[in-house]
Amino acid sequence: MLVPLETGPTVARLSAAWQPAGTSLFEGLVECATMVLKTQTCRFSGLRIYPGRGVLYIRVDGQQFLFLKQKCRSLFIQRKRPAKLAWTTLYRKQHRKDLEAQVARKKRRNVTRSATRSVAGTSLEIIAKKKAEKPEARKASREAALREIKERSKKQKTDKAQQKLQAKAAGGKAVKNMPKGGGKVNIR
Amino acid sequence: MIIDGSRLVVTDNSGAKEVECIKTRGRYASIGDIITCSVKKAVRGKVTQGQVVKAVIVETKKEVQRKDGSVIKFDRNSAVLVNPKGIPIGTRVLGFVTHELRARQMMKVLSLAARVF
Repeated sequence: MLVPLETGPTVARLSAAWQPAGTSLFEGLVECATMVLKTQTCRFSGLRIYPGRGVLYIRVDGQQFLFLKQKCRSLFIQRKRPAKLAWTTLYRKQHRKDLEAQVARKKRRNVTRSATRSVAGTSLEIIAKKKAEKPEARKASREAALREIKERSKKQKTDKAQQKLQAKAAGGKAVKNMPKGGGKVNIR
Repeated sequence: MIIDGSRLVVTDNSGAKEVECIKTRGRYASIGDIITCSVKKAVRGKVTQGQVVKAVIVETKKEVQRKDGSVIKFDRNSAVLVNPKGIPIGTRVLGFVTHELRARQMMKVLSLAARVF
């Protein structure tokens, strides 16, 4: 005899297999619209547990384990690892058995949207101008910038070399102020 | 499924640690039933070893079924010492209790419990 569920606003699809034969109580319920059942998952196998099935096992440390059936519970007590049993969802996930569905869901669409608002740092006109720029023009401007940087670094190098020469020339005067020999003590 | 002779762990601070069931009402006792027991192991507290007390069963290894079809079972058999009215002797309930106690009017035990399943 099926016991009516006390749990709240859920509905169940009563398939033909569920109904006991010839009970008038259930003839009315068959006409019922489809409902949505809240199912839980087995802690060991990962399979769905419908209401009225499964056993909740509470350990002394307070951990709860919901098992779909005695098979799962027994294997758990024997300390078998679900990842090693081919029929569990954990195994299937680890061995990537249901990948197609997952991959299909994860495909992202790269949407390019045109700029409609100005961003901090640039205004809308600058963005529009950059967008309208031709690739050749962009390349040319980039090369010009690179050339400028190269010239600047070259100039810096020559300046530094000149400074070094000057320092050497004035080297004798500078000894008193900057002992380069690492602090040699003059005992005299 | 506690019967005469079952040992239960006491999960309150009444002083008793282990208790042996000496009388059940009917053949088997389950969660929510009050049983008469004899204290087998006790530490300093309100009860001493050898005392005959009443206790309410709060955890059983045997599954307990509920009206919605769910089944619950624990790792051990345990009890909380109460007086004949159902009020606990101790001041704290350290283990787990279930909602079955609500139907048996064991509100005080429920309120003291840290975790109700």
